[in-house]
Amino acid sequence: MKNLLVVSCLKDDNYAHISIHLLKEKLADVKAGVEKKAAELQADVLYLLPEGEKVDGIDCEVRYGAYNPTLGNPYSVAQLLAGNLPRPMIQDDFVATYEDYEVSVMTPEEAYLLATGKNVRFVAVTADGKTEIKEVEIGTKAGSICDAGSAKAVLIGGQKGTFVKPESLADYEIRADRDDYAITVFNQDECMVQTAVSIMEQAWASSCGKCVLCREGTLQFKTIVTEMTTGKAKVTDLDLIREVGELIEIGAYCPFGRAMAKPLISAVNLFQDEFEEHIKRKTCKCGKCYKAAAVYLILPDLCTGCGDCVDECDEDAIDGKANFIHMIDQDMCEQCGKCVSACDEDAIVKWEDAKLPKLPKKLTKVGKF
Amino acid sequence: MGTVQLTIDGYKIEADESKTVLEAALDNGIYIPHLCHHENLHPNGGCRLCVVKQDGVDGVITSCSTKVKEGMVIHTKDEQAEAIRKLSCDFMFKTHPTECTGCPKYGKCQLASISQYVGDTGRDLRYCQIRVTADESNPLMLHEMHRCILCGRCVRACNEMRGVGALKFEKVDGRMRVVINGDSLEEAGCRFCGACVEVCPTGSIRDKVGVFDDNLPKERALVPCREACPAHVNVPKYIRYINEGNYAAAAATVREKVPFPETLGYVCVHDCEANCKRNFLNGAVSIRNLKRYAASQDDGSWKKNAFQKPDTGKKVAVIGSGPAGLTVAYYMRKLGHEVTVFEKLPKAGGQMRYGIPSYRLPREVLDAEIAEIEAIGVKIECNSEVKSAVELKKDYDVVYAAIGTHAGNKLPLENNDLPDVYLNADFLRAENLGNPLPVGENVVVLGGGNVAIDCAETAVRLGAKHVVMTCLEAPDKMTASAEEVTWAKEDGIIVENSRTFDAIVAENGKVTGLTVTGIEGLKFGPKGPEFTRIPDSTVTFPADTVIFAVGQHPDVTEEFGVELNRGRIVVNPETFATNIEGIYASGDCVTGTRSVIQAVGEARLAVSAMDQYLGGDGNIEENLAPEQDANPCIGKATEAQRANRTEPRTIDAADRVKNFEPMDLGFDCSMAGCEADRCLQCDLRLQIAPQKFWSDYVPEEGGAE
Repeated sequence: MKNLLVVSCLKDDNYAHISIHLLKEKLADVKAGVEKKAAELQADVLYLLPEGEKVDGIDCEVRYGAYNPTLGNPYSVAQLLAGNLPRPMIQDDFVATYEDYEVSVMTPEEAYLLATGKNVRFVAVTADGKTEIKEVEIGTKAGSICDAGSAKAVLIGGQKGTFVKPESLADYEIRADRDDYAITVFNQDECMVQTAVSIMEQAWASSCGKCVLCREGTLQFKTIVTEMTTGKAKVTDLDLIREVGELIEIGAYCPFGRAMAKPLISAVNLFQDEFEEHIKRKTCKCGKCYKAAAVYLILPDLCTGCGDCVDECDEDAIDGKANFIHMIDQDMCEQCGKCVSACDEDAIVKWEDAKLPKLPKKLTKVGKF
Repeated sequence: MGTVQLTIDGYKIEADESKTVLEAALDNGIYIPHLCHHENLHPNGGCRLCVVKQDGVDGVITSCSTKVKEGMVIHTKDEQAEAIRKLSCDFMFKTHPTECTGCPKYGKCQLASISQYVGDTGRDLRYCQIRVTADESNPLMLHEMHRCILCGRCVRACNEMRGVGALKFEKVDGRMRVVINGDSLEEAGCRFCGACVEVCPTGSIRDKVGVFDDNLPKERALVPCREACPAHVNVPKYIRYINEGNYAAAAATVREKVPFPETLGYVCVHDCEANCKRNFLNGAVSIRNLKRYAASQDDGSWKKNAFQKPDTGKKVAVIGSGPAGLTVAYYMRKLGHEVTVFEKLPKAGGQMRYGIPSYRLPREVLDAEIAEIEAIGVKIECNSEVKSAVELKKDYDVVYAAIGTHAGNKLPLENNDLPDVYLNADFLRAENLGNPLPVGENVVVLGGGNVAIDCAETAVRLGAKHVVMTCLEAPDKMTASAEEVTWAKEDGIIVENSRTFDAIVAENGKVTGLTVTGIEGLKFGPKGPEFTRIPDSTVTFPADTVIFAVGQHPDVTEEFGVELNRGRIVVNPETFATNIEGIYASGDCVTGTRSVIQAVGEARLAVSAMDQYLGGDGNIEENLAPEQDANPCIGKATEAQRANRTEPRTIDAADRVKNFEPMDLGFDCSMAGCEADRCLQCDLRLQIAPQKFWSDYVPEEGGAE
């Protein structure tokens, strides 16, 4: 069987597109490293680039694909080459094959290190919306490559990373054996709940779907954190996230799956108050959440208890009976707004203020509230 | 292969070094929950149920994809591992319907079984059911993917095991799903092997109701052609040999169950085809013609594998040399008994020679197969009528009667005793004896079965100008095979359906016609046919000759000496013994007119019973064909594999009606190859390990042995 060495640029984290950067900026060194490895394996070489990217000077076969954290795994790459969704195989003595090739994978960064022999790694430093990819000596303190003085939080390690306070950067040593490829600075105006939503949405999209804990875990986290921005979540959800997240860190199949919960858990631990405020008081100090989140309400003094709205609601979210003030169960309401037009009394309104009016807690007769 | 020692849950275990930790545990009666793992598929590792704790390793390891190593210490009931399993179960149940009892897989669902074992934490996770409607578009398989828990066994079975790739993973609106790799299963190159159904742990991919018989054990139900065959000929096996071009092995496979492979290739009623799974798609595989082609290529290589037991000294008399009699004679001789067959007519073969016309079954084919039976030492005495089985028994250890149904039934119609009124059995026998009964210009045949068609076709070949067949049944309810009806019509035979017969019209002792009346609402009740006559629909078909083809009965009287009921011999349905000890019977004379294959199938059972009566073990199973290692990797369906049924070559109607030469020429080599390629290979599914539940692994309370 022949060997195929795939240079994969698609494993990169959303926060650190280092591979394509190296191909564009350090192509000669990368190629030298690839050639060295290919000679050792007696392998043909194939470059796997992100869709839409063009790199001049690659004289091997080039294939394109979408980013996925599993695309450092040979089996996952072989699946992609064969036109399937990527999914990794981590197993003793497993040989990944594509057509009549045995597949090996290296990243441009590994090729660069092999060619140059340097003791460095590349770190994508993002602050104020700008990303700079820096070549950093192993052992360098993070504080020296990133100034996060007045920031709210720093995420070290992107989608697989941990939130820390800015002051921790000074003593944080960049290492080769952990996910120190990205340092992302979040300013004071960033809502941490909203940030968590966005990271979990990315994690859900990145999950290859093979392993139950990652596939369903990302979906659960995304759903639960999103509920924190719309007032449906419960206080117990924070402990649920920690407990489930810690099990996933041990039990998930691949390195991405085991790490994907870390940003969320660390954010919850570091910003417990902010998360609790969202859940309990349904407010967001940064003004990012609850702003657009419309809540539909039935105004108790206008409702005549006719029941027309009940029939209109597909979710059965409206509770009530004849001549009682009707109520919308906010946990069930999907904010479709159909009930507004069903009400002849204009008693149902879209409420955008964070402070809610006084509403009945149980079924109350019309006029008795 | 070396073995290693490891410890699982405190038990010292020795395992082959090629095994995984999961396999080693299961082999030793230690159950580790697992779902995405399937013993015929490559390990996957996705379900996270099989995680276990290994001493000296942080976290947990995936037991299905970790090989055993010397000195490993494994804890399957580790607290952390159990917590991870429970979480995985929690997650899966948040995507799966909560109500089990409405699911057709209820009671056979591996997910439900595992969750019972693993237990529930009651965590307040969110329900995330997959909203997708059932796909019922395929006639064989049903996709209810809202039940899918994405274990991926179906995708892997279709890809890895079968090399088909008709199923794949796809993200739809962000959610991972198993989808068809094309607009339909046909488009996706599906081979309809059912591997996906076989491995699905939940009720997501299922056989449609009615495709297989739920009342049968799986190994029988899943191969409907073999099950439907009265002799249970291994149809998929010989079709696979034909597809490989190994015709001798195919012929040998057929011969394992029947001593008339080529005769059956010409005349079998092919219940196998009626039950072929391909009927649900685009027409049954043309199994009979494949058998015929294979049998025509037989090189006799099976003979070296055939068993012949030493002589027992027991004497067996067989009365009647039809398919039942000859089958019994053949196997009884192979079992070592001395066999003599008594045949009333000048030659052996029974209805195969004196009922079935020669244009359907060339006599050389029959002669060759009978010669094969004689070659092993069966004596056939022709022109020897046995009046009394009981008398005969005095000279033999066992008498077996298979006297067939050689007397035609006559309906009580006016003028039914005129000389121009014939009975089916007499008419066909006379032709086959070389002294055909004369037919007039206009012939009317009463009846709608295959024998009626034989009579009508014979009349055409004897020179009748206008031949009408008329029967009670509507066109789609006729017992004659559709193919034969089509050919009959091509030959100018007019089929008048849904008529009841009123009277045979005659003038001066000569038949002139048959009066019939149209009917509707035909049912067969306990007292015979029930129907409504359609007013003003009475007509008279002109006829010089009328032939009754409305059934036959045994030509037997009380003198024969065994108990009769309504003219048939009465036997114990399991042992085929008559009321007289040592006298057995089967075939048409017991059941009424059936088919060659039915006669052979029952004769085989009767042989076992008689051999046991004579002190033998009754075993007549033999492996004449080589072992077949069917390749499970069948690949995507090609254009040829999706083609419609291959029709045999036939002689043009204008030519074939002039003589009694064979008119159906069957397949040539390339047609046989193409048609064999259409086989869905239903038997491959039996290679797949059945789904097991945790209780199947644990020998008794307490784990390892």
